[in-house]
Amino acid sequence: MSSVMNILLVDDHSLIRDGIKSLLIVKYPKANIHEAKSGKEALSLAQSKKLDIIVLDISLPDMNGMQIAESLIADKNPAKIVMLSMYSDYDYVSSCIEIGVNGYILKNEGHEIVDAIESLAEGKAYYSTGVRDLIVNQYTQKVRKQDTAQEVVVLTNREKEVIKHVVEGKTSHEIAEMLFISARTVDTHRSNIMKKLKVKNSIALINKINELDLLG
Amino acid sequence: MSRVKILIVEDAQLIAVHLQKILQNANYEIIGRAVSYDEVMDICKKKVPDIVLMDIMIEGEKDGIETAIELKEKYDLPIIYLTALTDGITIERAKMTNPYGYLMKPFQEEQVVTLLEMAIHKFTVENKLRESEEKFKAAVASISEALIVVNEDFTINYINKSAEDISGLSLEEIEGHIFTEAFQFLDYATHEHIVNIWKYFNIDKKEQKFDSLYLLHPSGKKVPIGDGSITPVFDDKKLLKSIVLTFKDITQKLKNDQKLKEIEKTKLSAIIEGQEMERARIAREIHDGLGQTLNAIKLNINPLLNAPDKARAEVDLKNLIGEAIMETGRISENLLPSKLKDFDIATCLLSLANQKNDKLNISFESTEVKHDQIGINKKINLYRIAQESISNAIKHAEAKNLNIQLRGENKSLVMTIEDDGHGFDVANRKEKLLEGHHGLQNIEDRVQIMNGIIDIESNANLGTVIIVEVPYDGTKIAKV
Repeated sequence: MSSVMNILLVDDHSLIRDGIKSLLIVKYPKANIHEAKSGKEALSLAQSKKLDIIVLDISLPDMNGMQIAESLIADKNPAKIVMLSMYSDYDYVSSCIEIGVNGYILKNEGHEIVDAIESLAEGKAYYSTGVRDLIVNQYTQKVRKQDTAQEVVVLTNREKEVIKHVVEGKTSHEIAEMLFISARTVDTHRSNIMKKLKVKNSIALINKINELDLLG
Repeated sequence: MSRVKILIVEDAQLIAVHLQKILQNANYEIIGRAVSYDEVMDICKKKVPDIVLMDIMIEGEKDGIETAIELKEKYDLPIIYLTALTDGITIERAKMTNPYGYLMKPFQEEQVVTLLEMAIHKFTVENKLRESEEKFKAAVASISEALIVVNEDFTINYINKSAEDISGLSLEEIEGHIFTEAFQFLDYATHEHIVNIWKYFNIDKKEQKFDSLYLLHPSGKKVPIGDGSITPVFDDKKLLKSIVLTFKDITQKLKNDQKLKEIEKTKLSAIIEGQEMERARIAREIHDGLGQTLNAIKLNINPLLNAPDKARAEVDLKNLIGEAIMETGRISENLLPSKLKDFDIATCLLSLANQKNDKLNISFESTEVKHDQIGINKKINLYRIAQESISNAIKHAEAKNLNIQLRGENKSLVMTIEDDGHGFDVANRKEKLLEGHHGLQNIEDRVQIMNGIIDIESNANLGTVIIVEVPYDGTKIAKV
């Protein structure tokens, strides 16, 4: 990393950019701080300047921050990317991690940006306190779920009802009449079951039901 | 074809035998020979002939003509008279029975056969005509439309059963009456009495249609009629022959229209009311949540600036601001989850299913779906449908479990939402709307906006299943 850091702040609100800038200047008085207020501006600056760090908001007027990060990473831009977002939601965090960003900070915890840039400069990732909580919560929830439910196909009561008759070789119309529902509904249940069991036709469906003993 | 059965009534044995020979030679079946009224009736009791050759002067008290009258009444048989009598009075009497012919004694062999053939042919044709007329009458009588035929002198010729029902008049009592005297019509808009319906509709011209009129019932009730037509029928010389009127009782139709209007109105007011409620909720949240927090911040600025324990005040202030930010996020998430903008519908529904819920266990499954063909509007609608269904399952059905499935078809997306609650009466849901339950209507409206199809099945044992099929962007689905 060059001696003088090149940082790009991408956010459509100037107040936020100013706030972040004032935090950074205290720690890195010599840093070159660039600003962009749209995705388009950000991408063009990222091409023209040799940036070390990009602080990227998710919600932007023209495209979202995740798309920008994806495009930068695909272009093999060497800059480290840290997301700065209002969204304290695991789906956003996990998507960003999958894309390959180096950090995620909640705007509510914006003061952590200084620590984040220090970590990124050292080649480490950084997630703000709230984000770390999100990740840990999600992980424990997942583990708990896996403990209770293994990878089994679960059929709803109606689906079981329908499938009983399918196994007996009844047509959708016959089943519909017996269950007092429309043939369309029966077809929907049947299709749902087939997709769940990953089978393509009725014969494979019946075999699969018997194999998994779903009616037992 | 079976042979034609003939009864010969002739008291002169010689003639009778002669006739029988002639007819048998011509391949007719003779079922008997009678000499008197009593014998005729005895034979007919055992076997009914197709045609009767009847002498006028026969044995016993009743002569041939009287016997013929009875035979016609009882069996509707064609009669041919055999007679030597030619006096005017007898001929007149015989005429009254509509005989199929007269055979003058003495007769020739060919004469007999020709006359018989002609009589049989005439009888068959007449029978067919009568049958088709009866069928036609039955058909006209049974149609649900009222049908009235008026003669050229504007008297009533015929009205069918529906016309009788609607007007409260019977054909028997008004046949031959002047139409405009029997039937009283009122203008639909003004309720004014229409004095001359013929002028009103200008019957000199061709067929006229009308949408709505009132027909005055003898009870004084004004029956709304519509879907009507008045058709004048002209003969070759362009003279009015008859007029045919048709119309329907539109009481029920008007009632249905009225109900439909009410439902539309309720729907509209439900939308407005829903918007107002939503606004009130947002106002409350901003006022009670965000507003109070901001007030607290303002109150804390002075202590921060003046207080000895500045560090403590600063922490408090930061916490309060943090709370205000969280509150803003929460309110805006409620208005429109930002996720819908940035993630596919499966992710959003999964996240909805994963939200903590003490009362309902929600599961979500999805198969491959063409996410690039589901625009933001569809995502919002599908998400709201799922939210509404979840809320219904908790509030109304008291369900324990709810399952959401998303499945991709070739041209469409199918979302199935199933719960195990106590269900409701699907057929009655329009009534529920009028009672102020808008949830399901809201779902149906959203499906309609997406050009989709919705199926709702519900019963007490299995709970409720809502199936929504929505075309991918840029495609259509065939409505079943």
